[in-house]
Amino acid sequence: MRSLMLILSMMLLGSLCLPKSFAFQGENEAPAGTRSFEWTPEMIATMEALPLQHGGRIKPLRSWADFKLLGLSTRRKPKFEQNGEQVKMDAVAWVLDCMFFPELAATYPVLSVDDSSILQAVGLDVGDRGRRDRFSLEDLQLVRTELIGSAQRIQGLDGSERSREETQTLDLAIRMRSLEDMMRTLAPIRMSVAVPEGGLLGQWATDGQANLVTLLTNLDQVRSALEKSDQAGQRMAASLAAAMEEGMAAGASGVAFVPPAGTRTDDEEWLDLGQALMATVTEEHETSRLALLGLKRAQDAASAGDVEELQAALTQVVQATSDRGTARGELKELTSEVSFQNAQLFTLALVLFMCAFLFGALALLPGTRWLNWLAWGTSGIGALILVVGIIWRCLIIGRPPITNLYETAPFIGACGVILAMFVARIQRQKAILPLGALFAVAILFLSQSLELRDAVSSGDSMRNLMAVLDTNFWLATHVTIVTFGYCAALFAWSLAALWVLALPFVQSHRRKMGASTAVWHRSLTRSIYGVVAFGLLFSLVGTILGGIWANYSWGRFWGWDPKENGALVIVLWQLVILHARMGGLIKDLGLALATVVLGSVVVFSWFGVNNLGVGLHSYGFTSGAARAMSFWHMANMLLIGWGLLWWMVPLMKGSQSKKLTGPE
Amino acid sequence: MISLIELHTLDLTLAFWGCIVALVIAGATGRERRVFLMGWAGSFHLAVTCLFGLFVISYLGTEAQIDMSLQDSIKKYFESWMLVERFTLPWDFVLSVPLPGGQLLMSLLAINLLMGGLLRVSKNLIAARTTRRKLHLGCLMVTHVGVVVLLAAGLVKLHLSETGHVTLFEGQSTSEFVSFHEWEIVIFDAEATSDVQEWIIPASDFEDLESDSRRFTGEDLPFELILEHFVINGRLRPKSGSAGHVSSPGGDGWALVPEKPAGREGVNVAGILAKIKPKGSQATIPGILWAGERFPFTFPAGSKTWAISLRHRIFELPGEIRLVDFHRELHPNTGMPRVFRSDVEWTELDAGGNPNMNKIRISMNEPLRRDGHALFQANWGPQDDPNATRLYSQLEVTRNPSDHWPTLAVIIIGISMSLAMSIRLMGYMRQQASRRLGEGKS
Repeated sequence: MRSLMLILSMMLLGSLCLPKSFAFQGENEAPAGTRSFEWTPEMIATMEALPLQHGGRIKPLRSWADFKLLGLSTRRKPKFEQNGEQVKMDAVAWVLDCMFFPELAATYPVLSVDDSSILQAVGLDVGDRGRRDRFSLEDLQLVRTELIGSAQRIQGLDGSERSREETQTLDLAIRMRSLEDMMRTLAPIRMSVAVPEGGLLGQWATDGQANLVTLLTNLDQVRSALEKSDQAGQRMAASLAAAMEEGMAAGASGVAFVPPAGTRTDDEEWLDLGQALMATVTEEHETSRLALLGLKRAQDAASAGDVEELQAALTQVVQATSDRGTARGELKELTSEVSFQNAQLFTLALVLFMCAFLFGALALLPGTRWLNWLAWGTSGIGALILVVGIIWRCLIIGRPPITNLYETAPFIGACGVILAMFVARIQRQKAILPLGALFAVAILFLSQSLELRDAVSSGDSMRNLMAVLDTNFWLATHVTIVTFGYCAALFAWSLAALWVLALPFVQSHRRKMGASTAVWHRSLTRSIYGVVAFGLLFSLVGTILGGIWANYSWGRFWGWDPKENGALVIVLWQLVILHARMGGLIKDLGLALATVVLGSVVVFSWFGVNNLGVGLHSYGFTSGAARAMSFWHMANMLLIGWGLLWWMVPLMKGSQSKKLTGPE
Repeated sequence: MISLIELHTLDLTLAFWGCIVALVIAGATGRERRVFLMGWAGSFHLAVTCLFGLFVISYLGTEAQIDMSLQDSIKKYFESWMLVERFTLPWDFVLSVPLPGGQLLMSLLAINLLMGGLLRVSKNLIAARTTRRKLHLGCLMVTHVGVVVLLAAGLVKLHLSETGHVTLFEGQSTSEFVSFHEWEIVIFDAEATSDVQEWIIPASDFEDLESDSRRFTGEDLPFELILEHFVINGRLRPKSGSAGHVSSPGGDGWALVPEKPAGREGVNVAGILAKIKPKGSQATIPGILWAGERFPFTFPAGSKTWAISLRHRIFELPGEIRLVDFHRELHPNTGMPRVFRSDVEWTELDAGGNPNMNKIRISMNEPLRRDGHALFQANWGPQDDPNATRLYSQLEVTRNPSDHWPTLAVIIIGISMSLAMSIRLMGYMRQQASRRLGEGKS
């Protein structure tokens, strides 16, 4: 037994290679291009809890599938037309199709293309497709070689030298390869070796082909059969080794489904299906054997359309890997994460804030007190749901609320709404509540955009941390406090924007009814001042805490790094506003316009410094945000122009009201 | 004569403090002048001007880091008294705007903070009638004290701290650390085998040398050393007559070629030209001291062979550190580092002069602190060789007397600002409530 094992191992290492033309045949059991059944909710519920390791983290298939699809398609649920019918799929069902019916999945248009001219450039006739559309792998098959060739050329260029179209071409090629890799996830279980008619291993063969998994899961019998026949046995073993090598390469998908043998401290790296094949032989790894066998059984059942058998097989796979993962203590938060992903709390909160904005805006009309209560209720529930979602995430990843750029957005949204409710309560101003709801809606849309970026770049929004960030104390203090400072500054911006936009209304009222009608406008000014001062406390303390953290991590308190400077410019601008106001250098209009500038300063610090691509904090780097930021800064300039214009109107008309919003 | 573009290299420390002294003297000679000057120095106008100026140069200094190194941007924007910023406008029109540098703005802000944030606020505090106002002003004053502590910490760090690194393979030990940026020239007897005595020339004595030269002598040294042409980053190249940028060549066919300073000064390789003139001799021995050379420059003088070397400045540690184990972990199935840490043995002498050894783990965010020195896990290598069997650990070392001052500042500022705002908010809420009550009654 040991001698055969040694020979097999030597063959696996390639030391006894035989001519390639001998016997080996690759993935020759191509699954059917059609599926005769629908993925049942039970199957999806079973498979979404399948644990896997991706990006250094153990997560459920649900998270992986959602983010994979989001990254490829910019949607969590693919929606397309097939055979004249509108199909909307669950991400897990789509993954199952990719795994068990790759030919079918290749027809799903899931690869989003922002500008189809990049496909025309590589020779694809896009017909009547829109400029922005989704394409299937099958659509791209005709120009696959050209696309890959272009991508390879573009990859050789420096990032700054690439045009927008070239960047999109490269991105599409990468996503296409990623999708192709996904389609090959189960390739190892479809590998087979040619077996001579009536010869060795014939009992496991059908039509002269023996499935590799079937052979490996009957390893003892295979070994004894091979041992009985000297030359034929050696040839067969070599053939098996070659097939295994091929299977290992095909199974290297970057997603590991099988927990290794031993404890968590011995070995943290899970096995992909290719490695599982090898582990079945070299370590006699039971979990690998069970997982491969289960997947093979599931593939057979899926091909045959046997739903009950398929359900049983999928359960076997999940059970085998989950049991092993649980024994290693790695799956404590897995079920919780599945529930979290399915709950979609942030989307629910977004809907509630939209309602709160509508109710709050309508409540500004006279005689609609009940709508005001509704606005309060929906805002409160929305904020509560956001807070629950943030805490839930913290429990899943075992970290404070903010560990990456994406997580800043829900946090700012939640804090912004709570701050708005607080200010609205103190000032008794109806307009502030819908403003807070609108603020949260905008921030949550932004969070969706950031989540999409995470999906494209790393396929996860709960990524592992770099060594320097691996400190819950500083993440909980510096990061949380400084982000709250961002939140207050941005909310102050929204108050200031409202103040500026309301100028024509205030001035027309003042002309009709005197300066007293602008009392609420003055009250808004006080709110802006208060929120800027409140934000200063958090920005200043957060920034100093960041310096102290840097002193602990890098041995220096302040290094003029872009991110540090970004935090500093917020503090400095807030100090400029407050000191200028206290010194009487600016009045109401000046305060509002300076706070509009604060909005641009915060966005520069939040995203802009990451886009510089330099400094110690470049781990937060995001690409492609420059255009959005330009729009933001432009919008702020327009707001300032609007404010100055309406300040000049009464001056030109010789109104006495200039005292209220006088030149600052 | 300094060009306009190089304005940021101008050291105006004396001029600035000269002006301050002149203003103080002027203030002392008349009450009106004093009141005016104190009012100006503590005014909101000056505060806003300084803060706005700092805001502008912080922004410019950040943007500049796309094209220039961090160290260069610090020198130009944050450590300068004045600078000239060049803005490229449409049609390639370049507008050069002189701006105040970070040092000038921070110095003015510090004066403003003392005169306005402390002196004026304390006067207002004394004059305040209500307890709430007194409390509010008191908290504001304490907040400004916190900012003063923070600025003082920066000043102390700038002038009194030492920064460097210790780089060790497992099993190696040292009781010194090496500066990242500072240079020094060391002279020693090349034949000495033990208790080697070193003569040190600090960088401040030679780093300003360009075309001029400077002479160094020592009572115990049988020669004079003449140094000239210091370059912060340079390479040795074979002497070439046509190379106009090559500084004065040495006598051995090689020349020191200045290069653009590197992005981080740690990888700069400095060089300087040297001439040795043995006492009692008219002949000189020319040489090039280059930090990239593995061996020192040697020459005979008196009855011995002497050695000179240009190296990064070396500081003493308050004990000996030995790297026992360096450990690096990646997140599973990724190339992302999760943990890197060094297990070290730290040996220091106790009060009785006996060596006392402790086993200590240094990891990210958990430095080793001893006698005013802090050792941080900074780096490891070689990172470009995935198959390297022997890894080294690099620990950053700082000796900063104001190490914990920022913590003190954040406590002071955090508490006092929170209190000031709470007092203000409560007052405002009470005012709002009474106003609503008044409106209800009317």
